[in-house]
Amino acid sequence: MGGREVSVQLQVEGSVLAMPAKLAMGYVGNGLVVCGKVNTSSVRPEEVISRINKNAGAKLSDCLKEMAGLLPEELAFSYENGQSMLWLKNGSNRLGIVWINNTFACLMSIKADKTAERGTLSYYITKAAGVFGIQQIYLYARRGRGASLPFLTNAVLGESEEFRYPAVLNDCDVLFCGKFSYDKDKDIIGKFFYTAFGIRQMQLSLLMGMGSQGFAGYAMLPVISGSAMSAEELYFGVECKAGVTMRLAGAFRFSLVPDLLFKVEAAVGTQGFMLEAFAKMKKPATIYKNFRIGDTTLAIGVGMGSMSFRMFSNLYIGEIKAFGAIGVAVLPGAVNLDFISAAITDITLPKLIKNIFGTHVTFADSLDFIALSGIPLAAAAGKTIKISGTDDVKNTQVVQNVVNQFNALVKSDAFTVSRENVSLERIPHITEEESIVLTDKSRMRHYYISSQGRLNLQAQFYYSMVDTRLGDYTMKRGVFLCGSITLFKRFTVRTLFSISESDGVIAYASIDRIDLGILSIGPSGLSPQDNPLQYFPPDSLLWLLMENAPVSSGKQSAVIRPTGAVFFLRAGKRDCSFYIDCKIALFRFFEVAAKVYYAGKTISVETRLSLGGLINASFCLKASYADFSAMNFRVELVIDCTGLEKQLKKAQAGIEEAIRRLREKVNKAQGQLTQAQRHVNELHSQIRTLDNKIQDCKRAIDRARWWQFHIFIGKGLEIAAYEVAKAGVYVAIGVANAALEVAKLAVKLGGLVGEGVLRLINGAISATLNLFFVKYIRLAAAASAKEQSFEAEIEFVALGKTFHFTKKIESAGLKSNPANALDDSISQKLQPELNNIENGSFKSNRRRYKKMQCSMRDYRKMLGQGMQQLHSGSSLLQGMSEVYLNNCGELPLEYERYNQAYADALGEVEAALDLAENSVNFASMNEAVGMIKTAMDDPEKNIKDESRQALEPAIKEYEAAMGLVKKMSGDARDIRKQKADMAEHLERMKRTESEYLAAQARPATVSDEAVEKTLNATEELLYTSFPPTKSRGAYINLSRESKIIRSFDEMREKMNLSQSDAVRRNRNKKAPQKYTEKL
Amino acid sequence: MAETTQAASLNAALAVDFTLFKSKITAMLSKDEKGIRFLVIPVNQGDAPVVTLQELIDDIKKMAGRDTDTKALEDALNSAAKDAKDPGASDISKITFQLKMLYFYVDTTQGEGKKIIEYAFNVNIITTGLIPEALSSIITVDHLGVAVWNTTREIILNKMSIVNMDTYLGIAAAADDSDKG
Repeated sequence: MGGREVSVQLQVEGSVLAMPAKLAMGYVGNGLVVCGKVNTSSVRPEEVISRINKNAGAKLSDCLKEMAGLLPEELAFSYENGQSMLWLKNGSNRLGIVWINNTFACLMSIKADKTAERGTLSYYITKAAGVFGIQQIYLYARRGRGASLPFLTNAVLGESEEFRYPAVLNDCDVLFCGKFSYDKDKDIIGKFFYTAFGIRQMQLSLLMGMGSQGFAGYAMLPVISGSAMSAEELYFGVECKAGVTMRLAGAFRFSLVPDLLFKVEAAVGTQGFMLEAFAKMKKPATIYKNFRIGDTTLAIGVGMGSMSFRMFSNLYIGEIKAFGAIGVAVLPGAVNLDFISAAITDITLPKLIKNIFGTHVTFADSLDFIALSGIPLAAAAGKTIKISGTDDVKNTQVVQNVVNQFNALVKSDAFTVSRENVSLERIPHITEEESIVLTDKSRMRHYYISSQGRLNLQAQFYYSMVDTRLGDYTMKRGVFLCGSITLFKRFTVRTLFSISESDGVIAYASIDRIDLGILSIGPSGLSPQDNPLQYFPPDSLLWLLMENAPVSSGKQSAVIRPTGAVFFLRAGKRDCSFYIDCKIALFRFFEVAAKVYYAGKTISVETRLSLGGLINASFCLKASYADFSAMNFRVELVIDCTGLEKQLKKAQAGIEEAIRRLREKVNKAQGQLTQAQRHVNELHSQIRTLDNKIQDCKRAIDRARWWQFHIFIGKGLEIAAYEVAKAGVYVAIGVANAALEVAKLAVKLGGLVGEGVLRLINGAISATLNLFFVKYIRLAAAASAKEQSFEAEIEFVALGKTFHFTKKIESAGLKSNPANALDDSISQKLQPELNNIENGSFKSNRRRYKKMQCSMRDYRKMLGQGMQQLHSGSSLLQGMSEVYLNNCGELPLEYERYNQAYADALGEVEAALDLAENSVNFASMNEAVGMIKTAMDDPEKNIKDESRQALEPAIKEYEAAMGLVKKMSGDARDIRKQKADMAEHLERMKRTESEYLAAQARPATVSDEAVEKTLNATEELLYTSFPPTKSRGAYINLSRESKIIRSFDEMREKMNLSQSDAVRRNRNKKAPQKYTEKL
Repeated sequence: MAETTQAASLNAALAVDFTLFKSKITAMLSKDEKGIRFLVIPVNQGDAPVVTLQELIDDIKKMAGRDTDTKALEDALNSAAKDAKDPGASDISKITFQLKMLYFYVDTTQGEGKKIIEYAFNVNIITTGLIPEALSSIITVDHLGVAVWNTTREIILNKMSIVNMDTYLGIAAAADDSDKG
């Protein structure tokens, strides 16, 4: 407020030649100012001359009296800032002459005055005007471009006198305007109009102007009033520029909407025609209830093969104001959109419904899930526009005040406005407090000022492909879009986007903090103490658009922390800046945060990547542009994997624990199986029992006398049965062992499969952790004009050992080969470890393959031979008893005893055969084997080859054992049948013997012949049952036991008996296999 | 004379009311750690009273003190008054003065290089009858005004009789430069 330039002024008031006069001169500002005024009306010309020279006054008195009316009543002159002006007034006539910048312009206003004194200029003019009906004449002329008609009109005539003309005449060089008034009762022309058109009274203005643009002639009818409509300031004219254009302009008012004044301009020329209707009103006109219409414009143009349609309108629904504009150009075969724009004040569905119906609607509140609003401006600075509730927003001073505050608030030239291009209007309130809508007509941009004075951009969009005007709106090529959407009253998305030739590109977006669980968006949270806005100039749009609560931190710019993610870009001719601050997290696991800005030639990049807190990577770069170009900056990259290492080690510990528990289970199961096998192995004691019985039989044979050949055979058969029993026990042991072996392998495999999978995972983790795992990396680079350096810090695990390494490479190293320098240093650290890699943890264990002792096939063969042995023994025993009975009339001595003994032996065999089936729970084993086979076929189980090599033969043996067990079951049933047959046979023999005794058919003594027959028949049966040429494995072959043969020979020798031929033949047969005697 | 002194090591304030040209004038001085602020402004912002030349001389004598030699000034004025008694001469005793504005403001508290010095002085001299009769038929000077100012404060300028063309023509403020073409 302090003035600087000195101003001086001298004012003089007095009189000159008795004419009151005022004079002021001085230096005001930096220029000379002289102005003065003389009032000549109070003094007659002759008195003025008399004061100079009495004689001249007396002589010229008569003449001067005549001229009195011609002289001006007032004369004023001024000189200011190179502009000179002379102003004369005579009655209601005015003359103004202006010289400025080599421009001369003058404006004369002559008005008919019926009260003019006779002899005055006004009197004569009035007389002349009366003939033609002229009421007033304006004459304007200029030479040069310094002064224009509007300026001169304002300076000479002031606001008290109304001189209206079409705007096209503003720039003319010569103008004639005549106002005519006709009354049918007062003048001839009036009578003519009445006769021709029925118009009783008419006021008409004729204007003719000429300038560099050509000639224009207009007729203006101030008012035409009818029942349906009335016209005001109706102009009809012709313009001759490049071609001839007829133009019609005026203001129309329709009786239906009396508050609505339409201003229409239409032009018809050789190129086409244009019609523009503009309705401008002081306040919106009511159409229906809450619906009102405001300023509206419609323009239609038809040219050479094209047509254009343009309109805009303001619609009010209660307290909601909507603006829409559209312009299209219709070309042959195509419709081009020239521009389109729309804007609306803050709106929600409940608000819309309430304003439509004018009352609160109950269900409307449930629709309040979405709100469309504008963008607050300068919210961060907390600045407001102060305007009183009683101020008239149409008042020029009020508008100027608001414009000044607006410009001070927005600062940026992309938003500043001027009073001439701004309109204000109050929006009444229904749901909210009253607000003021501010419209920037130079950009077709809409704002509103809340009752608290907060400035907001309305939600709007604007698109224009042309530079044009429509009504009092100016459109320039560009795009503008802005608005805020609030969902569920929880979070808000704001966006602003603008492209124009003058302002470049402006983009802004902000999203309030959102946390939906699977997705969250918010501010980056990086370097909270750093306020990047300090790098943006005060007139930066980012300050204007950023919305958050400022936290004052002192004299300098406030530290502003965004409440959500923010994106900003400004790329213009004079300014280029960029700002982004956001964090995005997916499933609370994957998180990316970035804080990047470029402003005031300062670059800062800060990013952070986080994977579930396991791996964190951050990058930081900050430098001024000048420093960056001069290589004076610092960069830092940090990768932190310690979180991952902790998690993996936890997982490893868990896996180890799982393996340990699994092994416990396996060991327990294996222990149980081992116990079972021990039980099975105890079956060997039964074999000793059988061996003892065989020894008893042998001793019985040794004790037998020469005539007790049946004992030889009986005991021999018993031995054979016990051998078969032994085989059965062996088979049972083998089958059980096979099953148990499979069981053990199954348990082990089950453990292996589970452990194998765990081991695989653990192995992968171990390989990761132990082979090579980076725990932490920090890379920093610093550069300056003098020096460049690179610093690396790394902590990693290699081959199970942790290394921490820090290296700083100076400029020399950087220049030569920085990669090698770093690599060499790391290699030097690792080399000792690498040299020991062969002694490291890369050994592998080999499983040894174990072969089975005796196969199930062998057992099957043994059993088969054993069963043949038993059948042979049974048939021999039975046959021998029959032979003896038939030849001797009685059964052999102790036949029943050694028959029973043989039956007992058969019982041992039966027991042995049953043993195999009962030694193992084959049902469970079958299931386990099935699972094993399935596991072996499943590649995911990842069963090792070593295990397969053990499992496959074991399973095969087991399956063979299962087949053998089935056979043994059948053999056991066979043996039971044999025992039953033998018991039956014995009974039958005993009955026969009893019959012989009863029939006294038994001889008193047995003849030698009978004995010989019995002996030979018995030996023949022996050879039949036990062919000497056949081998039954390791079983006893009675026909090849010399003791038994010698017993037959000894008896023959003692009783002088002879061999039969059959016996002799059998004895002479040569056995192909070698036989080891067992008796 | 009113005097207010606020005893403080660094701060001081002084106010003086006096009368000049029958107009009550207030002078204020304040000093603090930031600097000095000095203001002279008329107390009564309404119409200024008029004072005759004799009253002016008396005021000067009062202000200057009894020891001041004003004889030369009185002799000159008396000589002029004697001349005024001749027909055709102007009557000096009828000259009156009106102090429209006396404003002086200094502010050094805004910092180095931002010292504010504002002033405005406007006095009207009623000179009716001063022009000799011989010339009075041609020209008369009823009123002289002198204004010197460098301030832009509206409240000061509105009290001064600064004239421009609009004042004489009685029309609205001059048009903007844009209207000149």
